[in-house]
Amino acid sequence: MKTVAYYKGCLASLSAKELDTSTQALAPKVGLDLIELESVTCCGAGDIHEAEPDYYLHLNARILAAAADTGVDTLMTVCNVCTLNLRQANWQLLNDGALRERVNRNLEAVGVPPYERDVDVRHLLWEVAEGDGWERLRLAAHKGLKGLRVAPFYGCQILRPSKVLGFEDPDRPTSLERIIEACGGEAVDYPAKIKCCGFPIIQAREDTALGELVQQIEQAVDAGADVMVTPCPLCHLSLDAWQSKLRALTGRDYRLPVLHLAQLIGVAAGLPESELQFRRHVVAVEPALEKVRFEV
Amino acid sequence: MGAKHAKWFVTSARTTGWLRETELVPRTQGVVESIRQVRFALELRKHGKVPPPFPPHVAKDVRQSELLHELVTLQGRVGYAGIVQGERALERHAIGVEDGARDPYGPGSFPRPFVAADPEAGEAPS
Repeated sequence: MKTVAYYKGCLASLSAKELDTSTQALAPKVGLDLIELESVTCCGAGDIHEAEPDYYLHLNARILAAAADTGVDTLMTVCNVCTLNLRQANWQLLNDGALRERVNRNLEAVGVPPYERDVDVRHLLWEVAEGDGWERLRLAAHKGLKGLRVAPFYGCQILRPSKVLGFEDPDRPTSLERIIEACGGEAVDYPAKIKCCGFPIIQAREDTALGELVQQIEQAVDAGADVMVTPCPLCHLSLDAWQSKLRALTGRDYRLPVLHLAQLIGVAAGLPESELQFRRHVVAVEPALEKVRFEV
Repeated sequence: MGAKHAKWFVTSARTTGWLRETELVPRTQGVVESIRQVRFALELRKHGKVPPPFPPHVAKDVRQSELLHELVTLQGRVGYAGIVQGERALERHAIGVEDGARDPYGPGSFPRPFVAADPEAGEAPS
């Protein structure tokens, strides 16, 4: 088992609780022992990063310090935005001694242990897409997803900027496809899988965001996908919850269920509905899963 | 509207630690637009996507987050100064500055941008 510090972020704590329950249920099956971080806050998303960059740095340093304090080497996230924010802050702190010294002084002044022992920030996607995690995933997904056509949607903040994230080719990623196929499903290809879903501007510029969002949904449906999977709860929220607005905009009822990564693997691993919590999805998932020919 | 959105993230992090999602819409888009979105919000509420604003979801030791905000505000690295700090770090990333690599502020480069209270700042603009 690999022990990791687990940072769930804002959405998995509240409006996307199904992501947290499915991750926690799935983790032992893929060889992950989670230490849930408690004295942490929002990572600030892109908003605090832009509005108050120094505060963003301190919030993330506090999260990194909390992870380091558990004694583990890896801080695991389940959100693209949290991953980018934490990795970006980590890079600044690891490569600027004077900055790290100032931030640590401030952390200590407010009663937070300083960030002294380095940790690596990794998304759940990366943990199960390679190495031991991958091998355990293949064993865990024993029920399979045979007969299910799955459209992978990466979103932007797990791929770009590649120098901060650097897990795979940002223009030709393959991790989600590998996972889908390891679970016995069929990965569907379409161009918009690496585009932004528009969620960062969905309130400030909804029409523009919907113009982004419709591309992924429409292309995936036209390519024959039964479901979509995404590693980001913010992308999930827009892809799932805003489909009704796409229907009003385009006149087309897409009804494409969108799964969190942990849920997709969880279905293949035989996790119950009490853990997967599909009832929390706006677009019903169960009709699509009826196509799956589970292994006995 | 984007600025209000960002400011609410700061307020949320300072006060409860976690994003105050339900209040984000009226704070960003205003009361009138929020009323227009009620039907949509109620549909999301059925699936638990709109958490009730009360009781607030408060992070453990959130006071530390508030104190950090007070400290960084006092230290004055807000706005431009904070942005430049971050952009410098990312610039090093973009051009791959490592040991022995070209210093972006070395001989032959453009002058270092002036940032007040930065010990390594270039000359103040005249």
